[in-house]
Amino acid sequence: MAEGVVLETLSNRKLVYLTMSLLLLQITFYLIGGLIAPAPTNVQNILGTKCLDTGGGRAWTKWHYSRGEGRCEFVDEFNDPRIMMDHISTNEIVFVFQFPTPRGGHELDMSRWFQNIISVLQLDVEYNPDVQFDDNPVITMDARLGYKNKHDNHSDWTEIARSTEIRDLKCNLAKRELGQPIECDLLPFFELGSCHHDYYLINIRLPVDEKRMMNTGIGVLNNIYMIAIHPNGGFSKVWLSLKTCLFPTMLAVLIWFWHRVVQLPRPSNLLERMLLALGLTMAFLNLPVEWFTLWIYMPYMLLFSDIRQGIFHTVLLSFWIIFTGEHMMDQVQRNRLVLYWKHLGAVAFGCICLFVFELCERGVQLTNPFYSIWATTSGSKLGYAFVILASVAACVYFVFLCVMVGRALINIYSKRSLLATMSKARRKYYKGLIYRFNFLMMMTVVCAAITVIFFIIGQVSEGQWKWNENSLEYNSAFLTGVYGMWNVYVCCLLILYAPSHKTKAVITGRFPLHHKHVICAITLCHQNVVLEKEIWFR
Amino acid sequence: MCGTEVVALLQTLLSFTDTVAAGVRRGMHECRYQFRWHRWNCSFSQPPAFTDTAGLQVTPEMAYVQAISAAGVVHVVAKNCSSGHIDNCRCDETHDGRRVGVNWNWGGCSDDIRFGVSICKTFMDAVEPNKDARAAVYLHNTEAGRRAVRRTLRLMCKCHGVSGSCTTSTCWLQLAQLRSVGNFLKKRHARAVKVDFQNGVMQQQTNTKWYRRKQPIKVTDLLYVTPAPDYCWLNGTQRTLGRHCVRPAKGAGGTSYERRSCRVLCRACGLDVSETQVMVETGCHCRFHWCCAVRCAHRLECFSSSLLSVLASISGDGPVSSRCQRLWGEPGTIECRESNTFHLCLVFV
Repeated sequence: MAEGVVLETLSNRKLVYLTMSLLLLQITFYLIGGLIAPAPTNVQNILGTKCLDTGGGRAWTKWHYSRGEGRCEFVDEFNDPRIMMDHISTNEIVFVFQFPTPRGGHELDMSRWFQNIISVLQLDVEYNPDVQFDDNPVITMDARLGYKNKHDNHSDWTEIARSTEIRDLKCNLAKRELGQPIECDLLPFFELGSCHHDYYLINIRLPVDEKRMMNTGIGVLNNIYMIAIHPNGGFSKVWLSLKTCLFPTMLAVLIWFWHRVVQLPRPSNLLERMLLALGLTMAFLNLPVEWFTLWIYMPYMLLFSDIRQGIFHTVLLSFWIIFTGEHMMDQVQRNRLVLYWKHLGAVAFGCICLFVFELCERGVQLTNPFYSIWATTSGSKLGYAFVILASVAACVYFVFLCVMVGRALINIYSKRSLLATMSKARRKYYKGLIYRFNFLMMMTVVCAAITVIFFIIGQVSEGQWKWNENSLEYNSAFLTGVYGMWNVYVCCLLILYAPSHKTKAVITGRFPLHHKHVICAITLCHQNVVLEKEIWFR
Repeated sequence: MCGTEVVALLQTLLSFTDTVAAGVRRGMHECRYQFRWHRWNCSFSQPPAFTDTAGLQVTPEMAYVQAISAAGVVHVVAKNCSSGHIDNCRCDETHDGRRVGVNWNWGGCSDDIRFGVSICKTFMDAVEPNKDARAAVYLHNTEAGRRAVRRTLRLMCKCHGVSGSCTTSTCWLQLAQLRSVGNFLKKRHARAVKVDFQNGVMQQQTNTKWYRRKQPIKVTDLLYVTPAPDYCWLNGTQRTLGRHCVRPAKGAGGTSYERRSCRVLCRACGLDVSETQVMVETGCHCRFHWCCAVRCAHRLECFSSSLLSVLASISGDGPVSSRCQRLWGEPGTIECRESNTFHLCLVFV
């Protein structure tokens, strides 16, 4: 950084203007989410229809659907006399979920703006002394998922997937009394990376096989609710518009930045290349590929967006390490990526772990949407292994960053005493430098702190659900606000750390670090680790 | 509102009459479960008419019936909307019944429980023509029933952030089983509040025997005007005669209501507990699965004839053979006989 950056040469007035405009932009991001967008997700709670498939075995010969011509015969409750009269066995009962359910006399249809569907099951289980209820009940489901489009016939369902799934039921048996409800946890059901069709249909059978103890110890099952969660159309529209606006902006800033770097008489240094990488990943994250989902069937979108976010996080974490390293005031000439192999190794290892985990979960879901790594014991062990390895890597990263920051701290104290002996102009320059540097570091801390604080507020406010809804969509504001904030942050870095044309002074040393900066860096890094950690243990 | 809109609204409402009736039935079914070990077993000489409260004695039990019926309506409407069997559930019902300008593609639909509450209000509250004390109590009790549904809702959350992490999660309220609502209201019934009216203002009576209350009436409290009558003797007849009670074996558990049932139903009403060995024909190789009984050979539940004649004389029921009830079974399969001990409330002879 021999030439100095824009940040150093910017006048205080311009800096204030810039801050104010960025703050306004930030508030706009929050307001877009809070006032324009609806809640980020919509929940459809669908009660399973109990269709009778007399004479049907476990084989899927036909589709059972609850509405439209040729709909199945169904009973409302299992104490319906027909169940006894016709000797209906468990294998002849099919739970049917056909969604979306009609509203206001009209058959609704799923919009492609809904992007993806995540589904869980809620079982209404009742205690009955006559029916066995195991200590660790396991439920086996034959599940089949299909779709239909608007102009298809009533019975024209096309299969997406079928599978036999085994899930652990985690239930709380409070009273062992006839007819008392047993509260069970939600069961993960399926995840669809694309909501491309108009109507969806689920058929579930719970076959009983006494020899293999299949579904023999699950108590009395009264109802199954399927909860389908998908992004709201309005939110997707706002989100995608935001991305569409941010992508060219980020690209323009990036081109301007790199243009300045290229204009320099020397080749680009590591920090500049790192900034370029950060900007590129941010631009990649902003790339509004979701537009294509409106026309093309893209079931890999969940996986793709996760990977995009992962790449951004990897680069951001690496950037912080290199930023601290390059501003350390020792006389070591760094400027080479190889020198950071330990630190970057930790980041890479953690991210690779998460990537493999991601492939194991969402990658497999491309072929079987019902798959969940947490459903089986061995799978969940593998899942935990990946998560623990990633957490270890995060801890190692944290330690490395702390060590680096500590060394920088020591260097500052030793350099600080020299500050008084410097010439007046040089000292003034250094002080201004420290001030502006702190300003930017403060921004980093504020960004991270806001993310964490808003995240916590979001979690707390969700825990205290109110019957009466409020007009401000907090969750949408959080999502658009935080997303916009990190865009602003990266933009800010690119602009303020671009090489300046104005600087005449040549500084041979490195940036002196103020201790405030170090404290900020510690907090930041800590928050980062906290963020990483709380993700994985839910 | 123009004419066609009114017609459409009325048509929508009319299409819910069956559902509302089913809801009241579900509520009464729950009432019978909850009061099965009580002297008053939720039986009526004639079904209670909710629209006409003029001659109604609002006892604590009647308060329970009013509340559980309202809860049953909310429950059944919400369930039927969720199953998609009713196609005119509204999409955008807000908490105060006001329609807002959101639609399905933009912001999705509100949950069905909200809609159930509004249907329940329309059918059960708006039809109340009177403005007197009983009407006020009735409206309070139906509201308590709706609140009971709300209070038993379970908050569920699903994480769906990056790689299924919990950075973002979605929460919703899950309808509990009606049994939970029944349990909730049963607790409120145990400490129902007696109110009286002075100058048209509802006031709670503080000198109730069971529960001396300090706090004001809450919205989930059940209110009554008339104290509970002696359910042993009602209208000159002994109501618990012929009721069956249980004596769970020591260590077999059972609820406190079950353990007390013979004392409460028989002895406290001046009746004797008659322990009778009753021959019960039943399929002994029954298997129960999650939905239903399967592979159950044959089951006939009969009372012995000597006992039946006694019972018939009490209740004035039809022929003796009607007591033998064929429950299920395939003809020609094995039958086996088991002897069970029945406890019945009878006059000492």
